[in-house]
Amino acid sequence: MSHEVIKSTLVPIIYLLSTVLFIFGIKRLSKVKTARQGNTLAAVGMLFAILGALLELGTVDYRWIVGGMALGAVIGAVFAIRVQMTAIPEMVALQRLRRHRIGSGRDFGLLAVGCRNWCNHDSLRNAWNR
Amino acid sequence: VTLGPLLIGIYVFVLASFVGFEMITKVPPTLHTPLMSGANAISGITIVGAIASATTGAPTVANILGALAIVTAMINVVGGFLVTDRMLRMFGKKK
Repeated sequence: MSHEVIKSTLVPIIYLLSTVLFIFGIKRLSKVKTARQGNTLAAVGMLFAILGALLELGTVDYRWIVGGMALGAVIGAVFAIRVQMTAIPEMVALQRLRRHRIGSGRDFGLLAVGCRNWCNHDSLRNAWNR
Repeated sequence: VTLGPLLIGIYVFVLASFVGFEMITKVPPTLHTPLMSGANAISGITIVGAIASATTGAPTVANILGALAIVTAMINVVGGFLVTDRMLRMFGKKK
């Protein structure tokens, strides 16, 4: 296949394929069961898009492209791993909040128990009796 | 009818607006953050444009800027998809 044919036919098809993968990826990301699969689909779509862009260029000097991609990938991976460490507590806290559904009957029950314990506290009782 | 580039662009824009709107409606609140994160990773598609602008070996201004664009776009792509996957993996364990 000549480069002209690749450029005029194959590359647009690859771009279309990656667009479809992005759309299905986001669609699956919006359902809990398929969310991880959706993310993977979108990542595969990105791989196709990058391959398409490289194919479109044909034979050029790849050194800057490959170097830039390698550097960016390393920085991105380090960032992803490090940001996860600091983001876990917030994320878990948020998930817990959602699971307990703040404002439901259960929370008022807990609040009531807390108030009762606080009212039964010795120092408070002494202050009351004084 | 033959469509010029501008008209094709308008067609894509209008249809993409519908697709975008349809995709983000009825998303459970717990998935808002991963969805945002995943969509941000997909916005790293700018790497396609970046790759097209760093095509020579010579250290020209255009080439250096192109390489810089590739680096930043690649951070977005790799970091974005990895973070989203970590989030969703944590999410799966909890369920």
